[in-house]
Amino acid sequence: MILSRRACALCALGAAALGAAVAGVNVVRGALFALAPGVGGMLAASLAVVILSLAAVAPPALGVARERAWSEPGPVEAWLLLVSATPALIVGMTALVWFVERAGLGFSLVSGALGLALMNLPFAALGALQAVRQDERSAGTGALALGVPEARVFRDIVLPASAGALARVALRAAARAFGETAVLMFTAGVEPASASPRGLMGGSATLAVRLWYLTSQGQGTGAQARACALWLTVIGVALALAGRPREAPVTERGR
Amino acid sequence: MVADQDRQELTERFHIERLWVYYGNTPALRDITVGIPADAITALIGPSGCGKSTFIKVLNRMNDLVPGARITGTVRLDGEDVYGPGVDPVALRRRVGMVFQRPNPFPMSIYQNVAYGPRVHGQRDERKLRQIVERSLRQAALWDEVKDKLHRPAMDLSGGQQQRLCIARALAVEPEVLLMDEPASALDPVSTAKIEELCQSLKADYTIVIVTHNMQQAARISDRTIFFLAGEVIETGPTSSFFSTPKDRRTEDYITGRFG
Ligand SMILES: Nc1ncnc2c1ncn2[C@@H]1O[C@H](COP(=O)(O)OP(=O)(O)OP(=O)(O)O)[C@@H](O)[C@H]1O
Ligand SMILES: [Mg+2]
Repeated sequence: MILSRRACALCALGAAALGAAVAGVNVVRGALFALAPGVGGMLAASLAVVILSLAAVAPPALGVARERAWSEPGPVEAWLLLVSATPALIVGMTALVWFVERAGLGFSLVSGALGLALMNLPFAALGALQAVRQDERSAGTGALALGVPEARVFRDIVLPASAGALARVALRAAARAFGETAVLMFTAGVEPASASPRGLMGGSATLAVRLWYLTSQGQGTGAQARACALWLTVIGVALALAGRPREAPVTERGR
Repeated sequence: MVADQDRQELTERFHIERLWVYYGNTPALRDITVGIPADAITALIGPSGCGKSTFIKVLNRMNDLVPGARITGTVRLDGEDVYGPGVDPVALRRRVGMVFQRPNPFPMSIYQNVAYGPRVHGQRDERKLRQIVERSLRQAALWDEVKDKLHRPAMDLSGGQQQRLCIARALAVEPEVLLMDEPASALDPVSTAKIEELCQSLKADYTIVIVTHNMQQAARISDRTIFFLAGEVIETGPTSSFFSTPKDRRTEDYITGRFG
């Protein structure tokens, strides 16, 4: 079947990307150690978990969007909204059981990324759904009315039409993940990264977790804490600003 | 009910019988029995919420996409049950095109907007596609305005031009029927006049069903008028007699504006 062949290609692509990420992460980490003396390892860990978690969240979120693009908002949205309000602490403990312990991934960046993915999935799915629906009222419906099959319409019309909105959802999800502490404490650990890292399978505090830890130890005004806070603020604000919703509110013109 | 001598003059393209449409448990259309003549313009009028859009979306099964929508009764297109077991709604929509209230061009160039449908339906020959694009844009009275900027984004066109582009796009897949749900309601008078002229020029080859809130428009362009009220068809007939000598009191009240 065409679909399954495409799915295989996607999986292969995903695996290749993952491989490249694993290989690249040490290079990047080395660069960041030089760029941000003292907190480079934490910065690298933050970026790694955020990017990996986005890669994990994108396919299921787009899948939900594709399935529900032509439906009126209903119970699926209500559930996603409810679940997306799950306290991060609970997501963190769940991830601890599932990924760190049962899946045997230990305290690692991979566990952290999966934990963040778990946290962001309802948020991202809901966002993706809203992004594609903003178009669905117009161009996608027009294509369906030409006798184009739904899957083709989603690929050809809806995705390109909502690419900007989808990218902004991803940036908002990244901003949430970047500042997250509770989930990562339970999954990636609180130990600062050393200069000789173990790649994605090693654990490391992220910037946010490290800042939380230092503050809890009464070292919240130290040089390292200030460096963490600076990077957190700069990148977090940049992500949030880049991802701010831009589309005009949907208003039905006429009757 | 329907003027029978008139029915003999025009062959029926759609025949709808005992149609009920529900959203959840609420009926939006109640026991509709009505015909749509071939190669003519049929206007659907009636107050907001009376079921005009619901009716039009039944004809090309766009209602299938509305969750909770359910229909009973039969809808026949050239004698074939549109909701029959072997009917593919995707194939049906190719035969029964639709233009929406708000212009909804694809986020592509003008050319690609028109070429998209035929291409998806298997036309790969670029020369043929160019011919189709030109023919469709000419039919939609847009060619002269866009022939020098076919590869510019469709979104750069004015609202009226976008709407004519959407008509061209619908015509490019060579449908037999064209459904238009208030196609001119978001447009200025000049664009509206263009769309009306366009309907007139298309009706020799197409069966056109147009929803409108504009009574003058219905009287000007249509051959038949169907009046909906609260989900029921109150009156239907040739447009000339419909407006000059309405048979039902409620029709008269509505077309003279005495209606709530
Ligand atoms: N998706 C839906 N879910 C539930 N009810 C609906 C839905 N769409 C329409 N309805 C209801 O069905 C009835 C008919 O709606 P419809 O849109 O067909 O009216 P209309 O005649 O096209 O109105 P307008 O002139 O305002 O476009 C209305 O009462 C409306 O509230
Ligand atoms: Mg309507």
